[in-house]
Formats: sequence, C-alpha cells, structure tokens
Amino acid sequence: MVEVEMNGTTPSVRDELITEIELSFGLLHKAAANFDNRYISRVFRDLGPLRRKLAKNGDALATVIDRLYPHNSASRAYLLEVTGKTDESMDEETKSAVKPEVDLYIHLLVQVYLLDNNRLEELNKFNDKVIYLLGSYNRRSLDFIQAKIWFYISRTKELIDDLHSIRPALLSALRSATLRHDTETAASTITLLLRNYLLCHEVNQAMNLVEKTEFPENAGSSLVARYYYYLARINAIQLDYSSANEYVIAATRKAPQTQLAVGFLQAATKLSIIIELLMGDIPELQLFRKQSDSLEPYFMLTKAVRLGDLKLFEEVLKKYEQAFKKDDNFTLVSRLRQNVIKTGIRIISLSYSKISLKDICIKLLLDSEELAEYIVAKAIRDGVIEASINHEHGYMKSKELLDVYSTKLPQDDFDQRIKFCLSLHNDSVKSMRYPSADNRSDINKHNLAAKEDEMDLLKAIEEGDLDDFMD
Amino acid sequence: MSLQKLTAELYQLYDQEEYEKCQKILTPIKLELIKHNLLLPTVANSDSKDKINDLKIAERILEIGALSSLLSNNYRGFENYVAQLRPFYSNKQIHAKPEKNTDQTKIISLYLLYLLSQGLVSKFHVELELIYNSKQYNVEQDQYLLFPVNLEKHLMEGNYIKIWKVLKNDTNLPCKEYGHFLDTLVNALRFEIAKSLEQTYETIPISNCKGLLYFPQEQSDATFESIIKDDLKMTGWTFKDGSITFKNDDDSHKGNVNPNSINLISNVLSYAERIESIV
Repeated sequence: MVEVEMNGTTPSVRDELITEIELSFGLLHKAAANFDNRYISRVFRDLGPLRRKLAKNGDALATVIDRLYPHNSASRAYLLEVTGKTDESMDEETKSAVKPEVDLYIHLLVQVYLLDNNRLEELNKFNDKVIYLLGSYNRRSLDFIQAKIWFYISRTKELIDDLHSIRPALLSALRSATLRHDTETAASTITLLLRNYLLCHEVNQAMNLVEKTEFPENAGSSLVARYYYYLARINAIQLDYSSANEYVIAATRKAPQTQLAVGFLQAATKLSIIIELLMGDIPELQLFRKQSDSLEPYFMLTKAVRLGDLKLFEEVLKKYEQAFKKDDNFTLVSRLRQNVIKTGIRIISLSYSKISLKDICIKLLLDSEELAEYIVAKAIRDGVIEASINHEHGYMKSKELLDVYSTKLPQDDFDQRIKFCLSLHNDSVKSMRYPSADNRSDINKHNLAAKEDEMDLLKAIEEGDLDDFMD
Repeated sequence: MSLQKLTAELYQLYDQEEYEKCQKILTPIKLELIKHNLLLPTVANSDSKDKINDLKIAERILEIGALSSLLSNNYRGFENYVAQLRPFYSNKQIHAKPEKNTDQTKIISLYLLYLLSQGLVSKFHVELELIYNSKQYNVEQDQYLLFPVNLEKHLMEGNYIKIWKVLKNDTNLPCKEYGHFLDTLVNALRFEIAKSLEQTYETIPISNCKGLLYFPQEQSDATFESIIKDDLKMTGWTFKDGSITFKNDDDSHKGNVNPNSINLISNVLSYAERIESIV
C-alpha cells in the first residue's frame, strides 16, 4: 500500500516537503548554537501539518536522509531501510557528520511516519535503536526532542499492547533526565509512566511514583495539564474527591484551548463531571451543551443523580455500561448509587419540615421503615441534611435553615477567592519572560528581524505543541 | 528433595487445621523456594510446562500461608502473603483462564474484607479498580468477590439491615474463613450505627437504642452502657431514666455564628500586605 502511495505523489509535493524539512534544520542549528530551546518549539509547531503530509510521502523523508547522512554513518543504513529505500551507493562526496539535534529530529520524523502508516512492528524495532541513540547524547538543546521521542516510543508500546516491557527504559530515562535537570524529558517521562500504570489500573504504583518524584515546575503547560489529569484520576479512585476536583480543574485550565486538544478536554470534562457528582454537586447545564454528543451518557447520569431517582440511575448504568467502561470510569460511576439516595433524601428534607419515616420509605422505594431510619441517620451524619429523627413517633424533622450570612461561611468564601486572585497575580508575574540584558540592547536597536523572530517564537510557545494530545 | 517432604507435611498440617504449626514450617519452605528460584514468577522460570507446574505448587504453598496466617490471627503475615501472591496472580501463563470461585478469588476477597474491617476504604477501592478492570475476574458472577463488594455498598448507603442479616446468618457466608472477620465487622457496624445515632437523635429510649444497635433486649442496661462507653468509645452519651441523651457537637455550629474576629483581622492584614507588594 505504501508503495502505491509513493508512486502516486507528484514530484512537486515531494520537493516542497524536502525543502520544508531541510528548512527546519536551520532552526535546529540555531537552537544548538544559541542554546535556546524556543527555536525547537517553533519547529514542533509545524510538526502537525508536516506529519500529515509526511504520512503519504515517505519517499521525501528517504531523500532527506540520503542527502544528509554520510556513508560511514551507522544510522544511515537502517534509517533508509525503514523509509523504504535501498542504499544506492552514490558518488563519494564528503558530508560533515550530522548534528545531534538534526539526527534526533530525523529519528523523530521516522517514528511519526511509521506510526501514521501503522507499521507498528517495525516501529517497535526501530525504537530500540532510538533508545540506544538517546543514551549516547547528552546535550541540553536536545531536551525537547527527547521528550517527544519518548512519547512516541511509549505510544508504540501502548498500541501493540505491551505496556510492561517499556517501564525500565522509561524509569532510567526519568532518572537521567532528573540528574541532568532536563525538565522537559523528566516531565514527559513522568506523565508517560503514570499513563502506563493507569492503563494497567495499577493505582498503587502510580501513587508511589507521584510520591517519590517531584514534577518539574516549569514544564510545558500541556505536560502539566496531563500530569494534573492523572493526579485527579488517582485521587478520585482513592476517594479523595476534593483534591481530585482541584486537580481536574487545573488540568482543564492548563490544557491548550485549541482544536487539537479536544480529546483531552473531553476526557477531563468527563472526569470532572463524575467527581463533581461524587462530591454531591451538580455540574452546570452549560457544560453539556458545548459538546453534547460525547457527553450524553454523563448527561443522563447527572439527570438521574439530580432527581434522586434510583430506578433511572440503574437504567442509565445498564444502558451506557460500555461507554463508561471505555472511558475507564465505570467503577467511579457505580459509586454514585449512594449519592442518588442521598439526593433523594435531601430533596425530601428540603420540601418537608416534618415527615414520617413511612412516607420516606414509600418515596424512596425502600424496603422497611427501619431501613429508612438508618439511611436517614447516615445522611445526617454525612452532613447531607440538617435534621433529626424522633424515634418514638417515627418522623424526621428538618432543622430550621440558618441564615448563612450570620455565619463565617461568606467570609471564608471571600477569603478563598481573594487568595485565588492573589496567587493568580503572583503566578503571572513569575511566568513572564524577560529578555536577558544583552538581548535587550539588540531589540533597542530596532533590529527588526530579531523582533520578528521573537514574535514568531512567542506565538509558537503560546500555541504549544498539541499534536499528540489524545484522550 | 526436602522441599517435597516439607510441602507434603504442610498440606497435611493444613488439612488437620494446625495453623500455628503451618506457620512454623512455612519459613524453611520459603527458604527452599528461594533456593529453587520459585518464590517469584519471572520470564526465565516460566518457560516450560514443568516449570509452570512447579510455580503452581509454589503458589499453592503461599496460598496456604496466607490462609493459615489469617486463621491464626496473624494479619501482618496475611498481608505479606497476599503481596507475595500478587505476581503469581497477574502472571498470564500460570492463570490462563478467567478465575471464578477459585482459591484465588477467595484470597483476594478475604483481603478486601480485611481492608474493609480495618477501615482502609481507599485501599479497598484501589484494589477494586484493578479487579473490575481485569479480564481474569468477573465480579458479578463470583460469589467470593461479590461478598465484600456488596458489603461495602450497603455500608456506604447506610443499609445496615442487609449487612446484619448477612453477618448474623453463617450460612450466607461463602466460606468458613469469612467467619473470622465476623466479630470485627459486627463491631465496625455497631460503631457506624452509633456514630449516626449520635448525630441524629437528641434523645432515645435505651431499649430502642439496643434494637438499633442489634444488641439483645434482655441485656442489662448497665452492661449495655459499659459496652457503649468502653468498646465503642462513645463519649457524650448520658444514660438517665431509661433513655439516652446525646450531647451533640452543636457548639461548633454555634461558634460559627460569631465570626472569629482574630481570624478576620489576620486575613485582612495579609491582603493589605500582598496588595502593598503589588502596588
């Protein structure tokens, strides 16, 4: 199939592609010379479109490799082999050795190419070589590329359903990245390991990793978003809903708000809905309106919880079981049963100031008065309702509602919000980027080209590289 | 060859329900297992049929270890054995078929029960996550696994009647090892109920309270009082004139009504400081 596609491409597309790839080498050289990783971010910004073009034009990649690598280079033979071109001995022109940045970038492109063409077995073998290669380099300008390469290595293993074997390699990568203060790779490998553990449902392992490692503070925001999402998951499973909620909100806020990250946002929204429900809150209707189709099971679920309707809840659970299982949320969802009952009680307690236990039984479809008494007592204890039971006469009496404004609650809420605003301000100040002293003089000279360059870079960073977001 | 002898002896002791002796003999057996490289399934020692058979025997030994330490009240030991069994259970070569109503699910469910009786609910859910998502187990159709899962569900809902019915009736238990947890579970159950009662009622007749906590009516009020105070560690229960009055923690609610001025001042001061730094 690849053969056919290769033949079908017009030479002009191919040439364009070749120039495009070679153009990015310039940026990579710049990054290496200036020790400025922002140039690499810029290269990655173009990676998305490039990748789609590349998927159909493996030929172009082969040509680039052919031109780039000298004949005595060890990588040359296998790179050409996987891109589907035999090594034709051409004239012995002398080529300088390939820079590590460019070398790794080429490897990354080959990875992407193989992945998009679904040649997983080959990719897997290719990855072994890449891992070996990664070990041989130690340059800070490679951090970004390395982080990305690890992502694709891990993704390959995931697709061929071989999650265990990659762990040692990831862990050793994490160790060397941490030792070298390579934040990008460290952050990337931490998230990959977490994902790996969670896919195997080994929450304990994931928890241990979180406890033992320190997530780099200034990692890219897309990685931070991912990290928070996994933290939210771990905490939700361990019943710590309030911290889970904090993390999932942080994850959605940090996630890039572009078309490419939709999958991630959707997964995060689903998790956040469930966590909110588990905490006894009802998510806002607006949330569902935005992306109605994929959230339908969750919408129905929310409806059932909001109404306190146990029967509807069971129906929803049965009907959408597959959907919940696919999202790995089924266990969390099945915990909601008790919340449905509690909401039922809450509704009753809000509408009646005094009601006999027997009526509660009838309304909630419970078996006996005695059971109703226990359940109501539990609800009171969990702070769901403010009420008391009179045992002799068998009724539940709701307590008069306190005037909230006479309590400390408004003050606490106010305090919380002010603190949030202040910390937001602090964070923004911290994350501002100031040009270094010598740079400033350059800009002052109205060096237009430099300024444009800077703007471009900023734009690239803003948009982030989001190509690899998936749910 | 001594391993075979020891193993045979262990089986025999286990069948005779000499659990303490099982414990003693297990230590040398484990040493032998290490010597034969059988304590842990790895890729190297599970590549032939014979080796897998050996591993299965090792697994059975550890299972006996887990059960016998549980039955001789050695909970730490039980926990250790469960941890040691884990790599065996997740090994696909030893357990190729889905497990249903086997010793494996029995031990896992006992472990779940153990976590529940110790009040380690978050660990319980972590385990559950693994079990629900594993193809090896089918919770809905496994009588062993279903038991702790349902128990937790009822406990969370406050459906104490169902739990009591299950616990009271020994025949409902899927196997005899569960009986071991009965006392702890009943105690935990009563504690839960008592906690709820405390919050719910202002006052309640003693006889009704006994009923709600599943104590026999003929028990004297004095013993009931001492059980409440000593075993369940309930404070603030006053026994008077055949009824119990609860001293609720309402004080904390009332305390909220008057805003704590010191708190307020310190908050405002910190805002002022921060704003100053911004300006």
